[in-house]
Amino acid sequence: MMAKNVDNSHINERRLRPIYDCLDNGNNKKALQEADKVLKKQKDLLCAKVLKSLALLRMGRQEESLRHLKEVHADCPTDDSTLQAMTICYRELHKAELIADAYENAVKKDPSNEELHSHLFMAYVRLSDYKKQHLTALGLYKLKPKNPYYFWAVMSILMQAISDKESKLAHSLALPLAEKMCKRFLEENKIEAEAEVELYLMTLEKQKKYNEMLSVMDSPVGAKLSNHLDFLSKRRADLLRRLDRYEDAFNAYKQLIDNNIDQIDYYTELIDIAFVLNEKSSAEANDNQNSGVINSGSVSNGGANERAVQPRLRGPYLAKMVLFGRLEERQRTQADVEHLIKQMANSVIDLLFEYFVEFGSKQAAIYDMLFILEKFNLTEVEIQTLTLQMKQSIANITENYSDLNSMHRHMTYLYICHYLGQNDGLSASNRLDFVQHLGQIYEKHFENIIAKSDIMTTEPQSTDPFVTLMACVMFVNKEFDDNILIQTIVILENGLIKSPANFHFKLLLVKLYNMIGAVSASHTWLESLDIKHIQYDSLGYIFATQHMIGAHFNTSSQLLGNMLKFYSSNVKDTLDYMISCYKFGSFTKVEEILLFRDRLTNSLQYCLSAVDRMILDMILETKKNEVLIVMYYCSHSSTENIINYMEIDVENDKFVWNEISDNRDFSVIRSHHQKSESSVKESQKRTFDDEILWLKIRNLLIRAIAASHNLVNDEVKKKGLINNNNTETNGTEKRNNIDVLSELSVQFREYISCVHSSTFAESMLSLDEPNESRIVSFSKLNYFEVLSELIDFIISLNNEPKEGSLSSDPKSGDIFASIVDKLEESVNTCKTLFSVRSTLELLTNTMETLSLSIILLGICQSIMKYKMNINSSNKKNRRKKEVSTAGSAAAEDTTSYLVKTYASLVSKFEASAQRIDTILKAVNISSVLSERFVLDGLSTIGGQRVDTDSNEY
Amino acid sequence: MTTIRAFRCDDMFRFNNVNLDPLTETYGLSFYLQYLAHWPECFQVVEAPNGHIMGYIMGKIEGQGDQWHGHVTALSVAPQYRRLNLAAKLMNALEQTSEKKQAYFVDLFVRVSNRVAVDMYKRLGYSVYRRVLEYYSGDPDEDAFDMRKALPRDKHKKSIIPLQHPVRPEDLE
Repeated sequence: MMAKNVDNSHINERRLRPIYDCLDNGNNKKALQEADKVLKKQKDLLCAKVLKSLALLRMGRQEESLRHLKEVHADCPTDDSTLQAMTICYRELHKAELIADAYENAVKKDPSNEELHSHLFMAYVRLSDYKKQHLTALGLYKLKPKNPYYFWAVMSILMQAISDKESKLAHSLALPLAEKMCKRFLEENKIEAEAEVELYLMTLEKQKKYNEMLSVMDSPVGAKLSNHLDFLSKRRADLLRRLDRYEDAFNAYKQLIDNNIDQIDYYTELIDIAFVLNEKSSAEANDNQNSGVINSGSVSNGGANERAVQPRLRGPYLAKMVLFGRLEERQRTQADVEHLIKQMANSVIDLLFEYFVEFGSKQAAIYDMLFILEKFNLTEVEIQTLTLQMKQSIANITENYSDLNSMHRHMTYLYICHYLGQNDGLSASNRLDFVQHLGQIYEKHFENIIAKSDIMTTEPQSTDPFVTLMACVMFVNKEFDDNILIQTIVILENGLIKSPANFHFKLLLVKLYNMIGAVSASHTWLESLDIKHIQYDSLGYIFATQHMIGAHFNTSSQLLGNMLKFYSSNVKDTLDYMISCYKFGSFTKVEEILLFRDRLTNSLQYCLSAVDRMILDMILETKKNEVLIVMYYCSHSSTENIINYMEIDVENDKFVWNEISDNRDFSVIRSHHQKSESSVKESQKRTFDDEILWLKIRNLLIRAIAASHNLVNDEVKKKGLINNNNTETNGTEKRNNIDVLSELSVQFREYISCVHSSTFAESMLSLDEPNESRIVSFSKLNYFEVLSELIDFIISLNNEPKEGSLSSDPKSGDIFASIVDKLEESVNTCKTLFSVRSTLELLTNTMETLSLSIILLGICQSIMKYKMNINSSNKKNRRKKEVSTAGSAAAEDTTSYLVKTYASLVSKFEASAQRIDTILKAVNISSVLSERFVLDGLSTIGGQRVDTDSNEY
Repeated sequence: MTTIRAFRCDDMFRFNNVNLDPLTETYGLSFYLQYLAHWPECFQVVEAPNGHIMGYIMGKIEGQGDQWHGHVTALSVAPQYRRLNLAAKLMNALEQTSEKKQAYFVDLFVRVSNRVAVDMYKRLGYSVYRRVLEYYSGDPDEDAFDMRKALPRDKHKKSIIPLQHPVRPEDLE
């Protein structure tokens, strides 16, 4: 890959080849040796030096690598291969500004080199420095008057305007300038390519100059625009509409439909326009009433009549129903469309039934009909009529179970009934009977259709939706009923045995297992789904926090690591392809890719994962040291290292809260139940808000821990224990650490009270419901208070406290003890599968709080150590408890009060930790569960896997 | 009813119903971005009335001289939306674009074991041009059919005369 980018004509190419090969194959050590070999022969071969740096960089020897790079950089190389190699290094170092610098130097040395200028332009694209892009492109054009360079300049100006949304000046100057530049080329007949016309249209569109756009499209250069798939005609129709030329727009869309009667957006646009026309005509002249609507109605009917020519296209039928809905809506306020409605159908039921007869044999019919039903609130009578009609129409075809079309009709009927709530009234035993009945239908179809065909195991099976429906019918409990859950799991697990490629089953199982904290079981299916790359972002909401809740910290940490890798490569990848857009003249995609990158950078999932990972790193570090609160001096220092390594900005919030983007894809899991789906829509929004509050608190907590840690560094600095080099990072312009911490503490308390006064979207236990935010369980006990009290204790330590200056003893130890009480209670009452999960969540929350408390206590100790010279004579590696002995020995000291307070605090935490240990040792979740499964006489699938979950503790 | 339109970056957040299918690969971002940046006109998506993504086609146009051709890199339709001829619709879109760009033919690679796909492509007028040995890595590696359909510019349909011998992936131009 890399070698291709390099100037092949270079005379040293042959010598360098082995280095490139090694680097390409990931053999960095060998690459380093090869580079040294070349450099021995040819000391000043810069490219070899850079490739050596690259090898070093990839081996993790960053400092050495940077040293070599710096030397080469100072030499200002101008040859392509060296610069390309430098670009790769700087790209991997995330130092795009140095790429630009290297090319700036090269251009100065060799100002007539077109290649170098072009690379410099691309380097500015990487930096999103639109002004410099603009100037470089113009310079290039002067050097070599090629069209692309000129339009790079235009695009750069356009990007200045786009990026500068607030400044109207840039908007009023930049856009007209870009337009003028395009116009000049047009007038001089210099426009050559489609991309150039496209860019002209873009500059006009940004200024809402739609008339001008139309005339460019109609001018000779407009012929350069390709009209594949009617896209250009659609664009023209859209412009007419935006110009309020409704009659023309109407005709344009009508023509589009004539050409493609299956395209949904043509119809919706047409119907909208028809209604506007109708308004206008009734305002202008009463005699011309309804002309627009009549037209649109006729188009819709006309389309349906064309089915003889183009058989079985769903478009016209669906459009008719959409139009019918719009007319009914209007009728409620104005009665002027009554005759039109009558002309179309008696009721939407007729249209739905007509649709069912025509398309019920396709699986898509289910989703189409649900889409229409969502728009109508059918009365009970209407529902009965529709389902009865459907039932009658399939009555004589369900006999033989071997016809695919009949099967789908039956399936569609069953789905529609479920969606409309026809199974809601079933008693528990009737429900079970019904599910068994569905199972029989499924089995028969499976035998007669799937088993007799030679369908591949990688293919989803057409009978699968029966299984999904069985799960949906079964799992309607609003109560935490284990039996229902287990039976749903069994349905889906059995479904997967027959149809191993069905990802819907797997997703549902992941959700169901997570509901009971059976993370190992859900993880197995998660892995077989092979979720990766951007799917981490859109589907992460289904599984990302569940491992943590189930107390699987290590798996969780691994998963989060993979997710974060995806996000960190996002910036690099998107920039590379922004450059490609300029190269290939895909100007329309530049802004799109930019917005896409922002959406990923501000993704809720990204923020959650980043924060979770930091907290997990802290927890795992303290947990690694000792689960009990036996805290060694050296182990706390490794926690300190972790915090240092995270480079947390304590002063500034790194997230832009109002730009957090919700990228969750909810289309993959549906309950196929109207009422439940509409309430889930609401909770999708609410969980987003909940997660943001959760994120805000946790992010603040991390900053507060880091700020507390900085206080230790301050003390160390005061003692002169750190040399000047290391303290440079704490620049003088930074605020006093204690002020920062005090401010964070106040904010933390505000958030806590906000948490306790808020109501959250609690899980409703439906299949398609997004998981509730962890803030819900955190809001139920005083976890945050434990930490907040400790932070305040740290602040008070810093204010040179004397006896009585602490307003009260820190209560965190007691608050934590009350949390452990609740944990004990929960463990003792944990008798159901659902309660296993809530107990595990409680346990996770408790352990998380304990771990962070230990960190804060460790920080307390360090501060006291440096501030009061308490234990300078003591040996390292001693138990924390000994602090109290050391402290009490110095009882007469002014610090004795503090030491005493601290010691009692530590002993309270230690006691709590020991209690947790006892509680956990006493509990035997697996026996609770196996007892349960014997009683239920059910499959052990769930039980076996749940069992393994407690292993981490 | 189906809307066919150009694939947008944001569609990547929503294409899971298509991509979770075991035979549809989810690539790294750069792969999709490369196609969007270079051949945006060869990347189309079909959308259901409810806004869900039903399927998409990703392709490119490349080659020298009479090898200038359209290529189907990925074509996939979500399980719920099969049997609606959507694949044909998407293939037709890429063929139209290739034709407008003066290509001689359209080609694609398919696993030899994927009978469903091979038959479908045959129905759409594609024929096996050659077999590529061990094109798909896995356990074991699998051969691919290189299937082609001539476009009007290739008047004598020279591009689709089948090769008698299979080729190795490294010999592909």
